[in-house]
Amino acid sequence: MRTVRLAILFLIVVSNATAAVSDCATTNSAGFCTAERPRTWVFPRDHGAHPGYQTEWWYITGNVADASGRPFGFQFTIFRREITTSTEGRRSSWAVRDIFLAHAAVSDIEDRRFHHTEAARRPVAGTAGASTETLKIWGGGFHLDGSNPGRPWRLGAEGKGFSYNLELSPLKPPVFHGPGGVEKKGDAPGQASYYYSIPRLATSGTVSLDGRTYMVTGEAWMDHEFGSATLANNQAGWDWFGLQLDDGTDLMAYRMRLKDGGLDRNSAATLIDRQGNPYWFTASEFVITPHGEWRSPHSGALYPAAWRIEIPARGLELEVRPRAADQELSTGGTTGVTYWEGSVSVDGQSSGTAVKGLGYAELTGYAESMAGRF
Amino acid sequence: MLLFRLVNAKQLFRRPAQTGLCLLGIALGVGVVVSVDMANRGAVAALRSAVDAVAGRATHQMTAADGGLIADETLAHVLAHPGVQAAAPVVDEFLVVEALGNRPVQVLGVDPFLERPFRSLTFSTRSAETGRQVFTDLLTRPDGVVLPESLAARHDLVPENSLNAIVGARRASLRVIALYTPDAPRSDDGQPLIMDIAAAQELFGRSSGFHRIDLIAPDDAAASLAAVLGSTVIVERSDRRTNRVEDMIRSFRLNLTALSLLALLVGAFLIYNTLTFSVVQRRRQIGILRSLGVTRAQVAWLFVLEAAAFGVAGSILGLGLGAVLSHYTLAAVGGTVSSLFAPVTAEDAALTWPTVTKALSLGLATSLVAAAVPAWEAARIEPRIALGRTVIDERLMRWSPGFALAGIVLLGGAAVLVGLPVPSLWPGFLSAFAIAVGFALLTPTLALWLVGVLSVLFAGVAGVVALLGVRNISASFSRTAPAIAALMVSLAMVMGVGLMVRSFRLSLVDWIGATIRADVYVSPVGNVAGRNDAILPPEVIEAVRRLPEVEAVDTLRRRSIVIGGQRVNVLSANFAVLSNRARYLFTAGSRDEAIRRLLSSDAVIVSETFSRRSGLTLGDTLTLDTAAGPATFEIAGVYRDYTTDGGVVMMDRSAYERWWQDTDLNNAAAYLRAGADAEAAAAALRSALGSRYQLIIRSNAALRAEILRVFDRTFRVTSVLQFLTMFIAVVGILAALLALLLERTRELATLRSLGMTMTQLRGMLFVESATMGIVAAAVGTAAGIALAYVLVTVINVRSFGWTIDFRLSAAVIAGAWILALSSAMVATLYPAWRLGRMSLAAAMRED
Amino acid sequence: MFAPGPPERVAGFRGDRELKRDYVAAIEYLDVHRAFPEAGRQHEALSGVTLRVERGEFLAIAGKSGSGKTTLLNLACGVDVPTAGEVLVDGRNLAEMSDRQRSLLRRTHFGIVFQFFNLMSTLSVEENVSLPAQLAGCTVRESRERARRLLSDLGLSGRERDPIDRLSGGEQQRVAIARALINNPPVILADEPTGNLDSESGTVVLQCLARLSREQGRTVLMVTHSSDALEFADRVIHLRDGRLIAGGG
Repeated sequence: MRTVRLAILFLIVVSNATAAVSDCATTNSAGFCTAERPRTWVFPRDHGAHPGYQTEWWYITGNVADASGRPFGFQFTIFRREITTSTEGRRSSWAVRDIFLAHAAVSDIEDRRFHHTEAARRPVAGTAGASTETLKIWGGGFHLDGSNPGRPWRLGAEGKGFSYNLELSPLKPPVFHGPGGVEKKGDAPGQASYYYSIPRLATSGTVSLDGRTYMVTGEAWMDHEFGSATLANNQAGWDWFGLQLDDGTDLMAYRMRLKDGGLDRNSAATLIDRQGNPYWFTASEFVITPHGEWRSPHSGALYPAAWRIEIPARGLELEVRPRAADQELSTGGTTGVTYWEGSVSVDGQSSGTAVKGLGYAELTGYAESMAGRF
Repeated sequence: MLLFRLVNAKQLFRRPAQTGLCLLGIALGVGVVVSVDMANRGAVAALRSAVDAVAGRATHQMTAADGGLIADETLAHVLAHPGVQAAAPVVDEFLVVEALGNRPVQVLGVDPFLERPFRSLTFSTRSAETGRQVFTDLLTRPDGVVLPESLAARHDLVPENSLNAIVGARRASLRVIALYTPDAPRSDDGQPLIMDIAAAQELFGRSSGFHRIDLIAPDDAAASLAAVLGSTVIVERSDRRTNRVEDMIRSFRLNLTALSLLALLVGAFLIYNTLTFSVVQRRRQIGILRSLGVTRAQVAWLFVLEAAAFGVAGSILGLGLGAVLSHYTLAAVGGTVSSLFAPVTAEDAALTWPTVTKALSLGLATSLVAAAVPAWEAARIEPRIALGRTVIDERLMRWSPGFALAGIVLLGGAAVLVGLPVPSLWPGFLSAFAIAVGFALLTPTLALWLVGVLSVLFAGVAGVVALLGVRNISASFSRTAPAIAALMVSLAMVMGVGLMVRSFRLSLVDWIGATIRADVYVSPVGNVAGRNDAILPPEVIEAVRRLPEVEAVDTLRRRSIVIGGQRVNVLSANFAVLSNRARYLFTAGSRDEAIRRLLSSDAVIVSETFSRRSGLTLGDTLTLDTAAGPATFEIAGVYRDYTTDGGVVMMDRSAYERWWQDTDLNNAAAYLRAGADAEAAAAALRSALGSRYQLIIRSNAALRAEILRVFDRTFRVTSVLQFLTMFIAVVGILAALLALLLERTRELATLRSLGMTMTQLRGMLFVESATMGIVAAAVGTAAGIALAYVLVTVINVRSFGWTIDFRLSAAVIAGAWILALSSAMVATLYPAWRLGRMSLAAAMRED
Repeated sequence: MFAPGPPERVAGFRGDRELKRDYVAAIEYLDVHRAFPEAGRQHEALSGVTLRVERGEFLAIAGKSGSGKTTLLNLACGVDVPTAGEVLVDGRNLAEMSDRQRSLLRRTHFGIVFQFFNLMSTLSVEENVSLPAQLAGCTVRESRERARRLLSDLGLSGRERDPIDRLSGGEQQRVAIARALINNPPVILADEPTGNLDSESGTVVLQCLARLSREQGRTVLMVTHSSDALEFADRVIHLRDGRLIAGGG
């Protein structure tokens, strides 16, 4: 579902609808490639960037703890946004097709503190960029490097008062959220994106907060999505969850909220078994029920305080709670969007067996409507 | 304090013309100082705000040591360097925009993301939606430009407007995509246009690189960054850059300030005059007061207070006058700064407290100093009804030898100061003041002597009427001597500055004759002062070469590099072409030998200004940061140059291209075959290239005329000051004559009753005034020549580092004499008119 | 002496009131008023003075300070003009003359002697005396010669080159008389000529004036408040508050 997250890109009203130069099979009216047909995925090439698609991002969230059990959550996001379909006729190395926007956060669960930062760069002169051959993205103090075969991925970010440097090793293969990796989000052709996740990555490294460094281990979740779809005007925002359960299964689920208070029928969920096989559920096959509320002292937005997620067909009933209330990001410097992205804990049962776990949730459209953001 | 009310307040209004002239004198003196101060402040503020607007919130700035561009790759190192909190590349250029008054405006090419910590770039747009569009446009439109709001408002520009611009030698069309609100809204002086860095690079014909990287970093991080990057870059604190810009015009400002203080000095004579007159007028009154028990100290206080009242009132008037005058002085100063240093928009400066304080204290101090002698004189009046001739005149005559001695001592001091081998300007200014004051002190003696000579002359030939006129000067010596001294000082200033400018101009003409030898000069339109680095397209140079009349073409490349913290121009020219054509005037080394070395080895010739500043001369070596790292050059000669006071290092093109790997060119100079017509060749080039390129194509004669035009414009400020000082002096003479007239009312009435006609009376007044003028002009000529000598040999050399040949110009001196005599004549007009209206019967009854 | 008197001079002319009408008077005041602004009001210095000053007579006008004496003199030589009435000099109305003509008249027709001498302090004795001659266009040499003659007549030989302030009051007044005579004027106006002198010097000065009238036939009009001075005059007229109150002779 994280298609929708590209809503975060505020910059975006595409203007220069010149002829597309991409080699993609299908394009939209603006000239950008669209995600319509199932794709032949080749890794590690498809971990890299996909020029031609208007929006692409890499999203890594995870829960870690130090040796004493002190828990931390972390978030790492890089957006690649194309601002024009062509730079033909431009001489300058600084005339670029795309720009990179990055967000990073660390949730200090114990001290109830939340640190976040953001950066924007254009891919020029080695100051930012993304490989098209393998997993390597960097810029503005952020980096995600999986270009060394057989070696763990390296992930790092720094901001005011915090930084982290982590090594990630995939524990499951890439998992697609629809046939051929296409996730339909609307009825029109191209109203979709290519989307896969690696739901579990073994994670170790350091987290530094206010000058103190913690050696941490834990598990992370990676999303990679690209496409050129635009969001419908009647959509308000979404509640997204990526949950890792202690029975070895993982769940991705989101509900798309409409402005009229209803639920968009393109809401979806994917349940992933220990081996990494996906099971897809449509909006009618699962229920997410928010309850309780928390008002942000920063933006004044009113967020749900907990959710109940049920997939009746699998006997799955989960209670999801934030591990800390205040994990709200305000991103005036890059995307201009205020959203909640935070570490959550899970309790419940699966086919009668008690399960628990950790994960991340993303809540958008509470501080302001996401509609029209693109 | 009934006493003070009784004596002073009424007194001030009893003689409105006297009081008015005195106030006018102080007001003019203070006004000149204020206007120069405000103009200086305005020019500095404009320069500073231009620098600040460009620097944003940077703590440090990094530039390329070789004066070129910083490579893109450097940025990644800078961004990754520990401790560097922010870094942003900046393309810093000038272009000429038609809709912005067709003048050079600064344009910064920035990366909006990296720039964010340095300036907020708040776009004023109609809605959030267009705000997002603006951002995309900024990043993607190669012609997009963002204007400062106030600048746009002043020129009626709004987003979506197209702008015609001249970039170097080319025309370009730009589009206003948004307006921005500068971070420091206190002034929009020098707020630059903003473009995306890519668009700016392309507009100026490049694909990468930038002029500097702005940094936010602690000093130690900046220092370690500089160490890591090595000698290819220079990292310096932002404030140093601002200071350097101020340094640039420091000498210029100091010179103006010194001139303005001379005006105040002339004003001081007026106060002295008025107060002395006032003492003389009130002898009887003071005698009565003294007999009533008023002490000497109280009497002295009366006059000190009166002087203070004059000082304060005059200074306040002067502040207003200065504020008005500053409109013109600032325009003149701004024009000079723009044509010599950097383009600035100097807007009317506001009166600031420092200026107000300075004006009031200067005005007050001057008044009090000028009041010292009259107050002392008043205090000496004995307690009786004083009658008869005032003692002060006799005393002044007795003292004049003493004054003269003091004057000679001062002049000796001036001579010593001139000889002091220090680089500072202060000895120069001090000696200029010593000359002014020294000759002023000599004036009474010289005046008495001259009056004696003229008396003998007139007694035998011209008769008693003329004699009366001449003798009146010594009879009222305490009033006439200061007036003569004031006129003398202002004449000395007129002549001193005039001779200096004349010498400078003649030297410049010589220099032009030797240096500007080519027949046709071609340069891009976009060249502006301080940044003459617009590129001449190679096709243009090719077209010049192809012209059948052209025998040879010299090309010039200019690059600004930092040597020992000073920005210096490195020029390269084709000395093979120049060798037997231009004749640089060498002050050290021989021309032929220098050219031979330039052509055969890594040698440079340096301008006199550079040599003086750096202390390097013929035979020394000079290390320059080249594209290939530091390289050592031998100085093969020192030549005279008036193009910039910043210093020039000149080398042959082949050496330059080898060391800097740079084939761009800024100007071309074509030498025509014998007999070819320069104007025709220029016209031919214009018609061949004019439609495609924005070029300035000038014949030799036109370029020479242009150089002299810029020169003349530069000295317009000094002409204004000269005029104002002269005006004050005329007011001084007028005040003195008027005072004498009032003082001698009965005597004049007697003359009239003896049958003197008005014409004869006017004649007598004129003889009196003309004699004062002649004395002032005679002494002033000596003082003016001395002043000019100091200006030429000390102040100019130390201010700008170049040598001017001192030349006496009969025209300047004759002009000053004419000015003196005509001023003297003008000054008699009002007193004569007053006399004509005088009631003889009433006058006869006067004391 | 050195210059002929007025040709019309007739011996025994004094006091012959019948004949007077047939001759043009040296100076004639016809119902002359002169008012000055004083303390916001017009103060009449002279109120309706009618007076003939005959040629060759030594007329003294007596009166206290402020009685209008000096105004009468000022009106005679055109230094002042009447508010009403006419002043005729040799029958010519001064009011109808230009400033320049009045200057020339003063220069050639009148010699003036002041109470405070009014000599030019910046000029020597000789220069002071020759000043009016030079004003009248006389050459430097000629005027100097005339000055020397006059000074020796007045007993001031050897003092020609002295500065004025080295002379006593009586000497200064004699210099002033010499100056008054240099252009050989037919009329001498004297304003308190002894007012600033001791009686001995005063007598010398008054004798000089009397001689000018009696021996040279000049008209002398003197104003004074000194009764001693009146004795030298042919005729005395009293002035009080701007009006003539009594004739004398």
